[in-house]
Amino acid sequence: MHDVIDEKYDVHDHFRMDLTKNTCPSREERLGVAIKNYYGTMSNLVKGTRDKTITQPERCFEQSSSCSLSIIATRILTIRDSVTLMHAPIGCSVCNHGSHELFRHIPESDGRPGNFNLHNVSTNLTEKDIVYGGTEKLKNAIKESDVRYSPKAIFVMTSCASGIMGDDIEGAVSEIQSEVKAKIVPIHCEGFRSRVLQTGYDAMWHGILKYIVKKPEKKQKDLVNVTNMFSYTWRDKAEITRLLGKLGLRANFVPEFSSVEDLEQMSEAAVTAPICPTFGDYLIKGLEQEFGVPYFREFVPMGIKNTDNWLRHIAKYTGKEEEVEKLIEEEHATIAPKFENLKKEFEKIRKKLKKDDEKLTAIGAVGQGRVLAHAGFLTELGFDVTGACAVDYDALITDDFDSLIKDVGDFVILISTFQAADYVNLFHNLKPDLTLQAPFKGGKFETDKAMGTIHFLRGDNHASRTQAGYNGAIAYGEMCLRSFHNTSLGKLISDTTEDPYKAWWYEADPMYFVKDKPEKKEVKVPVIVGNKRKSHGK
Amino acid sequence: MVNNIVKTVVNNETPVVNLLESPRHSCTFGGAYTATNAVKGLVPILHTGPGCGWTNFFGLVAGSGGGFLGDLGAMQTPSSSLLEKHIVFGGEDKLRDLLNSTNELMNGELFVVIPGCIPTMIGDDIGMVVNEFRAKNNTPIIHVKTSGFNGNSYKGYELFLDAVIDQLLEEPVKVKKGLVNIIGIAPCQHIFWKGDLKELQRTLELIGLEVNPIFGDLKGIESLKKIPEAELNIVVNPWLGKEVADKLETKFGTPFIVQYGLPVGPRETEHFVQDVGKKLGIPREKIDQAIQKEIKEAYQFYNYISNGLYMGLANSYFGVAAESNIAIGLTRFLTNDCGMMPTVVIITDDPPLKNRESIKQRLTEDINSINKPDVIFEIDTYNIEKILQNYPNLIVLGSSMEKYFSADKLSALHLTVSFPAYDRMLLRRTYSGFFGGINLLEDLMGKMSRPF
Amino acid sequence: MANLKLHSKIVPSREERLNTIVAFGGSGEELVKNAKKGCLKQQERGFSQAAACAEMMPICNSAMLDGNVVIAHSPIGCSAMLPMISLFNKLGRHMRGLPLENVRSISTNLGEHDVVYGGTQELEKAIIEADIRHNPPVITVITSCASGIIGDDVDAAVNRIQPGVKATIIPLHCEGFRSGAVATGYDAFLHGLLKVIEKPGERKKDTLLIVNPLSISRPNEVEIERLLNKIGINVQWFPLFTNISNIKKASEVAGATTLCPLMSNYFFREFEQKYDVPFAEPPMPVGIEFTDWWLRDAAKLLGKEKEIEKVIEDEHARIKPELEDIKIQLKGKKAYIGFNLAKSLSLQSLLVELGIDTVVTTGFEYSDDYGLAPLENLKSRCSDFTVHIGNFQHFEWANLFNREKPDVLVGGLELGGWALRQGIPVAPVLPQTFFTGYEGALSYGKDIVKSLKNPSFAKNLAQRVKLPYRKEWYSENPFKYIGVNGQ
Repeated sequence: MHDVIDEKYDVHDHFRMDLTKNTCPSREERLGVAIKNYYGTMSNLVKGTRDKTITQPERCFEQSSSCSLSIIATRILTIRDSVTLMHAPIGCSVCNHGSHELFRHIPESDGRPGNFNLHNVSTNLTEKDIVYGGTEKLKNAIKESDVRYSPKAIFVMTSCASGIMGDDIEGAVSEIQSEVKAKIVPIHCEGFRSRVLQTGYDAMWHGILKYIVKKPEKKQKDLVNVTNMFSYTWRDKAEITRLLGKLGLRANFVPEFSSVEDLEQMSEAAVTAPICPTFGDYLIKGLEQEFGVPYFREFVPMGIKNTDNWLRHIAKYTGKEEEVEKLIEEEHATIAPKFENLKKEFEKIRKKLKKDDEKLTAIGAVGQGRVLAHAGFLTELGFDVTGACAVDYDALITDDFDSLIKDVGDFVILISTFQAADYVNLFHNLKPDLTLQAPFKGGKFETDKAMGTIHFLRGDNHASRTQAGYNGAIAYGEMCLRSFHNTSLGKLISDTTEDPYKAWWYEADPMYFVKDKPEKKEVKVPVIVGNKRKSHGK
Repeated sequence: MVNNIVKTVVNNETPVVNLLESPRHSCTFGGAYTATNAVKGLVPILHTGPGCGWTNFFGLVAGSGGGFLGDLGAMQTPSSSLLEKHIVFGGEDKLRDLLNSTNELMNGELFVVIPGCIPTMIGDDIGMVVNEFRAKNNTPIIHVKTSGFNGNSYKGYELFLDAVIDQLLEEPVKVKKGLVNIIGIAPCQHIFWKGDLKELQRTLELIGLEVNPIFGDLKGIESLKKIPEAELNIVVNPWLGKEVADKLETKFGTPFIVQYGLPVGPRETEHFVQDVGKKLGIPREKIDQAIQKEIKEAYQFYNYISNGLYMGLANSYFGVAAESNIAIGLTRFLTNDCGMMPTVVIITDDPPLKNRESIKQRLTEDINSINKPDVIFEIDTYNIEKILQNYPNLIVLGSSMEKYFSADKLSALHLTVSFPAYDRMLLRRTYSGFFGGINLLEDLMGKMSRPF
Repeated sequence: MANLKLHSKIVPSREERLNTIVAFGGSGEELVKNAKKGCLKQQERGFSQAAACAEMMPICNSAMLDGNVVIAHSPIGCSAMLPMISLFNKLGRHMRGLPLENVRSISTNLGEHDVVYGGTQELEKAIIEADIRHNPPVITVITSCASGIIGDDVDAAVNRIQPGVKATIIPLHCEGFRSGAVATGYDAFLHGLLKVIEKPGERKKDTLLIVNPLSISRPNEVEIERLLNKIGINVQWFPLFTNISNIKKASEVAGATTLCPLMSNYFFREFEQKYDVPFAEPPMPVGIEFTDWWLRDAAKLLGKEKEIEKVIEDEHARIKPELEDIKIQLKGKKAYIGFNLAKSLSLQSLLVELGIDTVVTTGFEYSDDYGLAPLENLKSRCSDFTVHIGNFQHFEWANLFNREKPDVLVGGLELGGWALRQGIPVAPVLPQTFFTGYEGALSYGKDIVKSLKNPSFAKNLAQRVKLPYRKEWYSENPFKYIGVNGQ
């Protein structure tokens, strides 16, 4: 038992959203704790959250990360019959130039709609606009978008520049709405709005809830809203569709590659099932508050046990309790032998690399929700979870982290929004046997050990690129296994790439750059208290 | 030829554009960021919001045929990641901290501060912070006068070189005979920049020159410091980099010549090399001798490919949507050397109005085909598609954004030759020089011999 | 015509049956004169170059039957052309809306051991393997030079194994050395197919079977269908890209005609003898006059002579203005036509109508059956021209190109690229080119116009590339080697 956590403090979120407002509050406004820097044990993080001692430290060194605008624009872009209109200088939309190619390679026989276009447009703010204001331009751009593309919705995305200029977006929108057929959805996602990227998601859902979701005409008892993300592939969708299909249910995947109509009908669904509990947080609560659509948020469908539970929760809200047990049984019958086989293969590797009964160690995760998914899954595979990285952290997930510690034991967590230097330091210090990485974090891969990918991408359409559900457990497990089978690339890169960082950094406290900290350059690996070695049975 | 098309050609003034769908560039910030990354050993330091580096990495770098840019070109780039409170209280302190901590942590030969929208709008005095740092530290530092809204990424490339010239370069001790700089190939925006610079370098070395490509080689800050020592600056672009060359001429007296469009294939490359040689006073015969073997070999490859080319793509109509440099190079090669027929050339890099006439001339004069292409300046992807729909092209040379459109709506073969290039990996690939045309034909025929 | 021996396993060579010649060089007039006198000589060449062989025809054509598996009973090289055929197969299937499938082929890969001890065992294994792997309705077995010389009894092997194999096995006997006339290969191929054609049930009285080779592609078929449908004639295409069940029912048609009289010659006679299907063999319907000719012959088979005249009249009136327009752009041009004779002569007829002078027209072989009538027709319509009969033989083409300096080569895949090396642009007729019927005349006319617009590739290449012949060769008689060391 982990007795270090004081469970008296309630970190539940009693937030009630107000859709008459222009946008959501930022996560730091809404929750006591919403941070992007932390290094320590999970248990201390949970404890610190409950006793409200965790605060966002001021850093004096930071690296390029991401912003609310960028993180949601790539997602909104995929809403099929809409236009993503950035009220911004042109640079902000440059990472959506893939719009004309996204998903196109997927054969129509695999369920891709034949006819769709994704539109990435910008008001292209220039010096003149910065001086004289950009609302006229915005209004014209909305009108022109409507004429050009006849979309069902136009998402107007704000930017740092439009925010600082003080353009009255809401005013412009209400002025022009009557002149265009499309629904205009302003989304307030200035890049500087929040230190926590997740605020961007909330802003996106706020706009969708406020402007797009319709009042339910009739309930669709077999419809399940599934909030799918950038990191969930075409095959993941297929797997979830398959499983829900066996229960006689239909998945309504939002917002990734959904239609506006899919968004409109969310209010009619039987339940909202998140794939990541914090990505969809604002939506699932909003759908319940405004339209009475129930939700659950505790589980993600990754790994066998998590998938079981995820499906059971859905079944509970759709009256499929009996069917789901039958489904789980069937699926286990086919998947269990494969999974056992995987574990045997890992055992072979373990014997080679480790002494006695030492376990293989691993670090995974990227978003805070994925900490739950990876830690659960890696433990299921027989790994000892040494650590995890999360882009940001807030009190929404504290309870889940708490249960996770009870389940798999305590481990080190680094909260850091894509700070490449933090990651190399962490990997260097913990030296895990397996790291699940997103290599764009740094040209320098700090390992010649097994290195897997943190997640596949939405356009992937090969059976080996699955993470969700039962087939995903096997495919993702096999990916982890493959990463042990040939480590030559990681080694080559690590041997031949020049190091951008000075040598001392690898021996330094990862929180060295937190301001006003006394200078210390020794390694400080957090001490795990309690139940780390607790075995995790089935 | 079809003439009734949406003409968005500009007469005197650029029309007011309210809406742009995926133009083929980023902002000045993005241009300077990628240019900095393309010189080894330079440390870009972003004074921006948190996502500007990310956006340009996934847009400008990933869209340029992939790969990383140096060791600091992705998420490792130091960034001040300004938030709401900095907008209220100013971001200078944050930048000051960032410069000091970067100096403590990172290896690097030159720090390059690149501001985005926020500091420019809130009035941070970046020059002051940079000067403070310069006074206290040995690490050289410059800052580029970018914001997100003061132009496109082409201008960002020029602003980077501006900053280098103004803040880093000193009077040369003496001019080094035979040393030339290549200007006008903007990293990432010009998707073949790595391969093209290498090939142009190799080509000019054939006639005994020492070539400083500035970007993409391993010499680091030395490539920048050598700039004033050059005997000649060669602008390989019908417009980009001319102002930089002007500035270098004013400051260091280095003369320059302009190559109006990428030299593709033996014919244009021979002209290019001869032009450079003439300007440097190298005897014509000496050059002839030096390049004879290359030309002969290049034509041998023609011999290999000619049957297939002619049978497969005989007298095909083709359309181009590309930057002026690439559009000129490829159009002239395919028309003058391969017997194909250009119908329309859409110039996508938004050249200044004063340069447009000369670009048009290079595309319509001294062209072997009886029909001359319509030359249209357009940066909006929506309009580009509309224009392409008016021509009966068998081949579309464009960005990867035209890939599925060409197949679905035009039933045309498509090859990505311009930014963005999400469907190709481009590292050493080049279409310039004696063999560049052959590479192009390889890629084009590859599309044809696998039509299914 | 002597009765054909229907059940003989081997078709006679064209040389034996039609006195086909494969080497001739001279004027069209001379050819006609000699042919009429019956004194065309079969000759060989004292120098010859790599070319096509009769064995290629059954391999490549049977590969494009829907559902078939080709077994090349040969060393591995004989079927090396199939990857390219696979591409044409896909193109052909694509244009007909069929699923894109690769050609399915197996080579028995004869080696030294087989050549010494015989290869029939290998063949039997290959057939069984093909049956198991692909479960095809038909398997075609193609003999080769090697299997022929070692004397493998392919028919005996097939008979032995057929009872245990679901597919109908068709042996196609056409060793490459059997005939210098490549069309013998067509005969062998279609003769084999006749084996699976069944007795007609009910005759489809408005349907014509039309034999069509690979090189006349789907757009051309569409044009022919368009024209015949106007007078109520339905078309059943034969044999490429059709499935075996259609081939089995081929005998149910009311008559048969052809887009390539060179190809269908033997088949029609055998077909008529066996199933009583009347046939017509007009020249290929290219250009106005020959299309008229073809339509009239085809219509006559079904007694629709009157109806077709109206169609012809309407079409003439419709395309004339546009044809005139094209003609203006081609005035004074000279062409060299390089195909088999059936196609060359029909294209020549179109060129006459476009105002282009033909200086040379080629054929890979000549026989009176398909050559004489169109030649006589053309003789009356244009000034004399050179006829070159040879299985490609590029050295003679090179000489003729240099001598005649045509403005354009109207040619195919095989030697088109070589005209470029002498600075002559090409208006290619490829497996996707549209050139038959009235619409085809316009379409191909525009192709020629286009090919003359930018000759820079040919000019450029010619300056830089040397052909392999000594310069003296160009001042020699191009036909110098015909008959030398021959008969």
